Amino acid sequence: MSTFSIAPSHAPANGGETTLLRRYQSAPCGDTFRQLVVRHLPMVWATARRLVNGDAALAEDVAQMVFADFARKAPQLPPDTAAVGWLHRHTCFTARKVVRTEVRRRSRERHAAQIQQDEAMTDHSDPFLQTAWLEAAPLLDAALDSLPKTEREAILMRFFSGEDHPVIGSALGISGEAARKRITRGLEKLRHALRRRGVLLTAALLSQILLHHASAAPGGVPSGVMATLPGAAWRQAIASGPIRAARVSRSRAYVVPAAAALITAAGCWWWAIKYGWFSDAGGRAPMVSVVDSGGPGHPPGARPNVHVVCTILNLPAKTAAARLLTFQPESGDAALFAEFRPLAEAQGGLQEFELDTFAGEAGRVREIHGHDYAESWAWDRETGQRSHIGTATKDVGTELQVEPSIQSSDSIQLVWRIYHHYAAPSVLKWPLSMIEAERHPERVMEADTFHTLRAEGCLGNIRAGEPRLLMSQYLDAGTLPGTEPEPRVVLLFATVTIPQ
Amino acid sequence: MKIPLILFCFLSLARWSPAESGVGQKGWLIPPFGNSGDTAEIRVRTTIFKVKGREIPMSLLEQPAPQDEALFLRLAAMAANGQAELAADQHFSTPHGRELRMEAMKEFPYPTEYERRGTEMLPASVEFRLVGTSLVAELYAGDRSGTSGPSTGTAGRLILENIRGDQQRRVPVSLPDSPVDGVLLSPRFFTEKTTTAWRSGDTAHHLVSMFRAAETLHSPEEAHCFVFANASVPSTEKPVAGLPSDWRLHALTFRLPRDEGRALLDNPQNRNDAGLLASLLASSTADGNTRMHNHAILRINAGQRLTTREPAGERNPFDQHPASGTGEERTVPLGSQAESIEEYAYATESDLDFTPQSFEYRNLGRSFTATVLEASKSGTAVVEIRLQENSLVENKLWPEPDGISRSFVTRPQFVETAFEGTVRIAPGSVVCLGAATLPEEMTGLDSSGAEMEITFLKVTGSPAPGMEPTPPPRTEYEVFTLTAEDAAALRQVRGDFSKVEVLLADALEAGTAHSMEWAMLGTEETGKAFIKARMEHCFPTSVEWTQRGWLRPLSFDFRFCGPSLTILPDGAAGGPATSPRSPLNPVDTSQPGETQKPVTGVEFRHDVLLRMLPDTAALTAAADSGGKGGPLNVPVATIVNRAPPPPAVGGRIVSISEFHALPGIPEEQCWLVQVIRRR
Repeated sequence: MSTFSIAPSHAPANGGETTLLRRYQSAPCGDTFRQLVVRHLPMVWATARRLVNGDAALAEDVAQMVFADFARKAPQLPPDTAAVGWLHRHTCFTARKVVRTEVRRRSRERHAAQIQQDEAMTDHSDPFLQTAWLEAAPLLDAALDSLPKTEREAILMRFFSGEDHPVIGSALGISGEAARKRITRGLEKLRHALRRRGVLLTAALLSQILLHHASAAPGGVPSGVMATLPGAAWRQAIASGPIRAARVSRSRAYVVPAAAALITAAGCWWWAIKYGWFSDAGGRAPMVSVVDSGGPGHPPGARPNVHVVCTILNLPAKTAAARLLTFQPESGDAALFAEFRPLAEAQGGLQEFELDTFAGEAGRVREIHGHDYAESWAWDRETGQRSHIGTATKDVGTELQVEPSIQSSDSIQLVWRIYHHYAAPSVLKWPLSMIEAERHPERVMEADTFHTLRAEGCLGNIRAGEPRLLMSQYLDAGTLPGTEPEPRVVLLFATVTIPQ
Repeated sequence: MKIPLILFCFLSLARWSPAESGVGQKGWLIPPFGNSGDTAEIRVRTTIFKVKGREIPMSLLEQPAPQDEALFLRLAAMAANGQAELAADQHFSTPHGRELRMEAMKEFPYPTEYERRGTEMLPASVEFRLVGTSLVAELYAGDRSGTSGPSTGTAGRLILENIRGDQQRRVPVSLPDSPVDGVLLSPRFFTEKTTTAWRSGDTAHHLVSMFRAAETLHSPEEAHCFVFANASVPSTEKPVAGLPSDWRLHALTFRLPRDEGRALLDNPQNRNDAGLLASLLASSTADGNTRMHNHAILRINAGQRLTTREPAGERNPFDQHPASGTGEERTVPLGSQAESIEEYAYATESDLDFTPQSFEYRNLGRSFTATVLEASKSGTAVVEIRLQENSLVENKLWPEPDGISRSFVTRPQFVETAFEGTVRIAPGSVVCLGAATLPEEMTGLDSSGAEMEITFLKVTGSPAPGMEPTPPPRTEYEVFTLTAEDAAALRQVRGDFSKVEVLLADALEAGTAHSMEWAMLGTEETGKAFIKARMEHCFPTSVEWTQRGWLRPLSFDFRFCGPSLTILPDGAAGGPATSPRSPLNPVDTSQPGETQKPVTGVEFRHDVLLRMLPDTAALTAAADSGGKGGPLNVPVATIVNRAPPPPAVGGRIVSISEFHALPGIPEEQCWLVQVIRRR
């Protein structure tokens, strides 16, 4: 499965936020500063406008002051600072100060009317959404300010700067998945912060209003401001004196992490060689394959004395079910294996695991890989197009444990367990209208769902070299008719040999 | 890119966490085996077929009935031809004496919350439910069996559960400003579960249960699930000796008009339960007045015990949250059970736009349980039977549609029928377990008035000469409404029950008396037995006018009505210290009757609505008054009496009393008389 990601709507042409800030910190110049302003002006503008009761002229003054301060102070910021976080906080501080000194009186109705008028000029036509936004807007920034720094920055980057999870993770020094979780936590805390201030929103609604209202689209900032503010802020900044680059030695700052990375990489490589990573990738996503053969109580150099091959066959039920209903166990195992194995292999439903272990001890094998799946979506109601805005990764694969015991010179008993976890597409559908479903088309959405097969058992009198059926399981298609994969049958065979 | 307007987030609450899945974690999901102990294995196969229609179930009532293996082969052939559906099929080998679990589960996504966008209902969150098949097997092989009785073949227990989420139900959601009724699609989850006390001496497939398929419980189209199992030791084991015959129990329930049913049961010629059952089978049709309402089969074995750690309380399959937790280890008779359950979702709250805000779930379906308490060497057995059904009569509209006002709130009306009792059976025996009148509202829209339900138990096989058990006596309880004059006349003849019966019959014929409720139990005079039929009425208690002029119910309340008859044993009335129904008793293979306890009481309970449910006029008046008249209410009267058991033959009057005027009954019939009789 491919990774889903959304190109951020405000992404600069070159480099992410972190790169820009680092570049400016190392060598402050007008060009880099302008790029930073272009990147963050929509968020600063929207925030300032909220806090100055919608006065556009005042918002412009606040934005210029904020960026002028940023121009001077950015080089001295700690290396792990996210620009969006600093800018938002400073915008709140500056706006409050401007409002106090200017002594402007704005009624709540005029504020709401101003926002309403502005909103009416956009394409947003959902009154429900607007109502929620009107309630939350005056309190949003204060609520954001109350969040912990880590979550506040993640939310600002996601909803105010329009970054996607991998970029956010990179900027914050964490994985994309961790960034997603941090955003989820932050949203929940933000929701509670708003609730304490008297605004009740569901998590989904809060996400929506942040996505659509928190940061003005580029078209929302007056074109004149976009054109003139970066230069004005830069001139204001350098009027106080030259802007010095960051004093911290970057080389020193990254020595320790680099050394640790080298050690970690070396350790991983050793681990990979020992346990056969990167084996049989087969063109799929990197697979982790770990084999654990028996316990530690054997002399060095002792060779395992049982070789087990476990074969998993996954076949359509229409192919296998009828045959299975009439086959005779024991005597029919080998014939069934001979008949089904090529069919499964031709249809891509064959998995085989080999394991060398010691009789009387448990051997285990595991093959897993990460499966990326879409976890959240956004709908365009007019076009009906769906776009993914959030992905997650879940490990799928197979774990197998066997414990052979030698019953006689030519028969073995096998105690086994299997855990088989895999992803398959399912379809979720619902009528999007309260009117009779036949009158309006249903919306459908594919969602990856995860299937698990767990089983265990014991089979004896296995003759060496003969494939034996350990288990068969019928998998119902289930869920919604006509939209689900067909029923299938999973069979697990074992072939045990005793190396000479 | 156009900015999307709708954000859709999954709340994957039911997904496996990495810790639970184990895959990808540093540790292993599968713990080490350790000392496997005795690992002799047993090969097991379980299969479920689903077949439409009644032909196959009815063929199992024939004499002789088809053998299990032949039936399996027939259904397998039908499945290959598409005439039957293969619902589950598992084949595995299990270690002797160990509990084995297998499951094949998958996530089923469905929306759980909605937000309204104009006229559209959009999912605001989605959950994932695990559906699939699971199996628990605890089997013993050969001489290593731990069960009592002949230790041959395989024995133990099998639990097969199939959960499906493959259909959608239309939840009525009305929109005031729309000319048509709206719907939401709500998923349906079905659970079909069989627990069987297993014993077999061969490698044949055995029918362990048959029951109505869960998705057809509330539809006129019938389909039944047939659950087969076979278990055998490997061929190198010694051939097994013969085992006692397995018994196939049929639970059959009929619904028919009250008058017809009473006439059948009161006819002295129908004292033979087998003849009565034959008569009902002959007259029942799919859509006639007399119809077979339920047919379920269980395979039971005599002499099975199980030492296990059971949950603390008895498990009701219809509980929303069944009892869980660990109880003490104990040895109990091993019973068999078949369950067919649908999780029925219904909206309980809505916002001002009538968008459903929250849902409740009720388990609807049927359950059949049989546990062998005694198995005598003479070929009879005492079994405890339990039958239960929770179902939906209708979704009642509020306010009622009258061509002017629109209805936009619905509430389901649920019913519950249950039977429990102990009977003595033998191959080929037929027992009428019980019967009861049903509340008129229970009979559904297609029936022709008041109905009653009669339940039978039939055992497959040919009766051995002279071994057919004596049918148990029938205990009946009946409630009449009378005029004051008839009540006074009854008091005069109270001491002579035959005269009481004559007087009541005359009053019924003259129309001055009405048989309000009647219930009968035909079980052994041991242990507790009961039969009940109860309906849950839901009605609004407060209403308001909306800005658009619609009557909007705000809150609801519930009332129950229906009869129940219980036969009570007396635990303190002397007799043996142990009860045959105590789970701590080992299965007793001695002569029957030695540990039976006499019945010492009969309790009858009947809840009756004293007023009709509020109609549109009542709701309108309540809304007009703004609630100043107090909440809408439907009072209920409870008639309950506990009486000594009736005499061996005949009966007696339990009580004569003045009562309220009941809805639907002439006002002058304001006296109640309750009688108990035995036939």
